[in-house]
Amino acid sequence: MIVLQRDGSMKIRLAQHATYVLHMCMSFAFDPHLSLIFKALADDTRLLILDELRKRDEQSLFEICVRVIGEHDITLSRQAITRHLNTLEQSGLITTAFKGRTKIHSLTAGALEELVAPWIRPFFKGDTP
Amino acid sequence: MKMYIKSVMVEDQGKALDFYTNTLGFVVKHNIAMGDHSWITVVSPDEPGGVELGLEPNAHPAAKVFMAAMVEDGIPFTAFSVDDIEAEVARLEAKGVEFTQPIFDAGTAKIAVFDDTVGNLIQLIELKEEVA
Repeated sequence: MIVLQRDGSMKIRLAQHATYVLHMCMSFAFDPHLSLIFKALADDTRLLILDELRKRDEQSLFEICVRVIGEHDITLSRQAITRHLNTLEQSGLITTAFKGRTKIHSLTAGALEELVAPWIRPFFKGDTP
Repeated sequence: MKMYIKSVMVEDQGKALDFYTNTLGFVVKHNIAMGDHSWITVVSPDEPGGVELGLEPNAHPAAKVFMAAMVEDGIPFTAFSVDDIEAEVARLEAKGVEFTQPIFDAGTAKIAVFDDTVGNLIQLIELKEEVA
């Protein structure tokens, strides 16, 4: 509801109303999975891990540690990398499997295309309502 | 004080002895039967008087848990140094050794990881310059 009192006051209420409408739209139109993916992507180390898995699939925890730390000159514990991998797996961006007795990590085929592309593509095209 | 023995725990001492000598090329220093198991150590032919590598049975329950955890995370707990890692990887692959991690240039060293067939991952490392 918009109450017209003073110019400044009206403006604020309009903004709040717009945010509310947008929120309603989002809660219906958005796959909740989408924000999980963006949260997973919103971290430098996790972006590096995804890059390394793109270069070579099916890597163990040890190999990921070696590559991330060795190539990018950052200091991180194995436990920290494990937490990042868990976040990536929960978002669906990577999957794990066993190769022999070793747990390996791979990019999930098509995850970004299927979940993110439908939402983000209209922005690239400059579509407006 | 000097380094004397460093051990790897192995699932099968006979199979381990075959792999560490005939495939990797180490030579037997000691092989003494002791009940159900043997006391086996090998040395590098480049350093016959150097540190010995014990091939210890993984009979203790905790050993199996530890080994499985290392392998699950792809961690090589033991490392051997080589002068030319490309040549060494080629030599071992020709003998059927399975490399779980191909040669990776980590800046100051190049590393690769292989399966020793008796429960361990082993790292090969070529140091680019002598560590002071």
